Amino acid sequence: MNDAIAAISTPFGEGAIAIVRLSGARAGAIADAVFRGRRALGEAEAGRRLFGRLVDGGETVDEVVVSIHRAPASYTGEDVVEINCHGGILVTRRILRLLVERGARLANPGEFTERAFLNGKMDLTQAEAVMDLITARTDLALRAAAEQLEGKLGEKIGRLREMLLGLLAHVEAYIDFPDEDIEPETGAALLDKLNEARAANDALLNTAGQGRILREGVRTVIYGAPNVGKSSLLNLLLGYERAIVSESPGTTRDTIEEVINFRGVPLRLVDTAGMRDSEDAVERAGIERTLKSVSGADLVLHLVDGSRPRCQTPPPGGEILVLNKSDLGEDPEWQGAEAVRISCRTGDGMERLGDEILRRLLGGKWNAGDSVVAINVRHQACLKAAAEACARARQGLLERLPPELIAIELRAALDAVGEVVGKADAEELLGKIFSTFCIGK
Amino acid sequence: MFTYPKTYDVIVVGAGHAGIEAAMAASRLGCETLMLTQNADTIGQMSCNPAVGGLAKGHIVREIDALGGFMGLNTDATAIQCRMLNSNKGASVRAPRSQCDKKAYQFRAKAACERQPHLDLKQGNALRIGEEQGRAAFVETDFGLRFRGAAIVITTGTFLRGLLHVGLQSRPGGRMGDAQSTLSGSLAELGFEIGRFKTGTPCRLNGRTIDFTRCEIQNGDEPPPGFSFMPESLESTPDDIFTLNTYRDGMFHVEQIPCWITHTNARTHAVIRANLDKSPLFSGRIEGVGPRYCPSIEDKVVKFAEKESHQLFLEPEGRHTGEFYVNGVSTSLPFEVQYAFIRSVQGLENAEIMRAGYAVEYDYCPPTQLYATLETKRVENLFFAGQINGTSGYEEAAAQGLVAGANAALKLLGRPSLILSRSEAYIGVLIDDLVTKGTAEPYRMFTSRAEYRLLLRQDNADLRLTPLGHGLGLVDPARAEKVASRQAALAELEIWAAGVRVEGVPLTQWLKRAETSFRGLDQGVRNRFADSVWDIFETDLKYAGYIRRQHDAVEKARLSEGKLLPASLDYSAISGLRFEARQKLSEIRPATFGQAGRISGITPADLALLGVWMGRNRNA
Repeated sequence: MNDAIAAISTPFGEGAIAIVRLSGARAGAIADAVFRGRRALGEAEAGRRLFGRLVDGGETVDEVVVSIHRAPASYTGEDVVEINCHGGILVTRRILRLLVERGARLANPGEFTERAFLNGKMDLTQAEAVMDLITARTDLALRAAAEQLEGKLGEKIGRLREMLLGLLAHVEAYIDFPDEDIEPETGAALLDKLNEARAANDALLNTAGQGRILREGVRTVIYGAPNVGKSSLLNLLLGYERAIVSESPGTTRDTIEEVINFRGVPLRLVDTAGMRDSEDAVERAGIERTLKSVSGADLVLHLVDGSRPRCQTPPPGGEILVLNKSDLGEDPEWQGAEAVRISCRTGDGMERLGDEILRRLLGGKWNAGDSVVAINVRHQACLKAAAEACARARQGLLERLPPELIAIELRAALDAVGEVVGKADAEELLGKIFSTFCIGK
Repeated sequence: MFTYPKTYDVIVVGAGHAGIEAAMAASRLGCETLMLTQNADTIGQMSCNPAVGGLAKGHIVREIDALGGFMGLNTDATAIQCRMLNSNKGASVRAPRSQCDKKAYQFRAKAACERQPHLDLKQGNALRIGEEQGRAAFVETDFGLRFRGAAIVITTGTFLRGLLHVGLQSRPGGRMGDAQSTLSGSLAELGFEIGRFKTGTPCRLNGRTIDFTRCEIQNGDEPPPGFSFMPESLESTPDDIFTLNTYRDGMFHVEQIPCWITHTNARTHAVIRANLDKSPLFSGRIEGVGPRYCPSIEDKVVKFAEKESHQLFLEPEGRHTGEFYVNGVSTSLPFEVQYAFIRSVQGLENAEIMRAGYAVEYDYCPPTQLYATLETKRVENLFFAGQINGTSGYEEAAAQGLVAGANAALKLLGRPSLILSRSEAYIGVLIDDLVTKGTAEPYRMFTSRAEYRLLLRQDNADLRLTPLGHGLGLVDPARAEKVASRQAALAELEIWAAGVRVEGVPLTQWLKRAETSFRGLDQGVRNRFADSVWDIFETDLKYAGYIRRQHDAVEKARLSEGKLLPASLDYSAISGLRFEARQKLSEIRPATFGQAGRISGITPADLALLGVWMGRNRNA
């Protein structure tokens, strides 16, 4: 498992500087085979940055800054070489190819983190957080990932777990110590505590949506009839000419995705082919894709030409209605319509559109000062199972089922939560019982 | 040194609750067995309270009985009060508990051991365990006698370097009135790790001096619930005066004696608080770790200071003695403090203490040194059972005795071992916990330790275990036949019930309701099957969805239980494992992924890592 792996570890196609990483016992040797500097990497102090050139045969590929971190004091726990090169797809690709030619292997997705995990450099939730960090697209997402890394999520889940453990301790004490004069909570008091735990669980579960948005971006679809300015709006949001803008309707034949950092929120923008009846097979396929992306969207910007009368495009629902071309005046049919009015040509109204997007997405809940805890899909599945078990426990209490059945549900909830941060074992439960109740005849 | 002319198959050192079951199981399997005890007059002595059973412990005794063990029958034969605890809760958490006549219990046990074929009972103080080529070979006594045996089971209870404390005075002893054993020195020489635990017992009072009119009465249940699935085998012969209860006219008969309840009060607590400096527990004289579930009264008063009163049970020690056990005031305070606080309690104002309460510290061997058969990893054919493994309680000890004795014999006979899984028996939970996790305090069974609690009921212990015990040769044919016919009746009831309607709905649906019971059926319908068969049928119906879920969980766990970890696995070579995980895994050497996951301190991340590592190495 110690073969050297290599990967470009900065986001694809972005930035002036890119980093190519190499990990494995032979990382130093492979890098030295292509690095020309004042000193060889093999002789360099760990962490020292060396300036030099990467060469392919006689030809210089790039000027680079290289550093080596030696096992086990590195991210992966193996020898790791970091090559800081000039950004750009061609250069980074060529460096990668060069390293592969010298004996490295292209890393699988997440393989650096997997090695770090396997070499005992991090635990499972930390490893997950790192994966999130790597794919984090904005500051908010980055902060959520960083806080999970610091154990903020663990802390919150730990508190939930403690609540469930307390509940179970009462039920178990009631079962196991019938002859003791202890007063474990039953009935209404237990139900109150259960509801507290459910609320805490739900609160965490509710961050799942935020978590996905932070990690993957808000799937945002710009939807509308041909030639109302969808691509222009997309370009405005992106800040540069990305989609092909054309005067002739039906030029955008495909859906185009771009992720932008929109005031801290990652928007995954999808431009779509215009909605209209078409005989053109390619265009029809584009329209089908459009409908599909609309149904899977978190946010739909329904764009219309406000200077012209309402047309037949069916509204997809739940969208923000955007009247474009305000610079051309508004058709009387749109009078009083609840819509954001913009002009893609002049840029007028873009601020208002931005406010509306944030209001819709976050419902005012997104306080940048709050600690950001956002769970991932695995956490979500666990907490969902816990929520279901808690709901069954509640039902059981209401139906006055015997305590051993309530205990089964509470234990299921505790186990599910434990999947995130580690299971509670019998000893922990007994510890809770003995510290809560004076047991012992 | 005189070597005894007879060579034994199995030697059991100790004759307490673990020793009896071990010796009985080995001899039942036909092995020539020696039971060696310091004092042949204290076989099966109840050193603490004269009661058997209770939650989880009662389940264990039913399981011991289902496997052909001794404790259930002996308890039933000598009970003086019988109750079914938790009768207001669901079937899986109901458990029998009986007060016993302490002397009848132990004399009947002695008589049974004397009569048991293939079993020799001898008095002798074991001083040394000898091994030959890494295998247990002989036991030497302090009077220079050597017994050779192919397998040895050690069941020495609290006697290993036992130290008794009353106040700040202490002296060696295994139990008040009995000498200690120094056998742990020999075990240490063999390389075993030794730890130290502590337990305690309350004072005993003369019933003549207790004012019961100022106490609350606690009666037994009628009809008396018993432990054994074979109560009909209880019969008293003219020369057997120790079998107090017999089975006649289709019923188990017990002449029940009540227990009594009273409470400590503010004055009691004040006396205790004022004298904490004389407590060996609080002054640091006691080093051993005591159980949290059985704290001394001084512990309770300190740790739960806000509690104004603690409940005390006054339990008769027998039919022919006036001695009462004061359940709830285990203590190691000096005699004069015990005297003062006892007399502050309502009803005990003039009570005469016959025996003072005391604490006992003793050596034990951390049970992670054992395989699930209870054979030691260090010395082949050497088995440990009972308190030496860090447990507390007669029932826990007896269960281990049965397993260790049976496995010692089965190994010599070249037959498969008796290993019960966590989904089969509380005994399985007990032993898996011990050998996998070890224990940081004297281990007691609780139903909450069993993740498959609904499956492990006291009413179905025979269905769960007797066929298995029969297969191993532990169970006599009569018992096996009885269970087979019960199983057949249950199957018949299931088929028959499918076609019966009650109050317009199918019987199976009617019985599912929380408020219904087969006891409410017409006599004609009800009498078609025995109550004990109806009980199981009804419980299975009422629990149905939950039982299915537990079975699913068992199946799921079986996947990781089936994933074997090679015994030769070098955990130190898995560099990614945390140091603690590496150490724990190397020490316990889990047989499966499932067992590895239950080791304390082993995290899901460790298991994931182990899984990935194993996967890679298989491919390599």
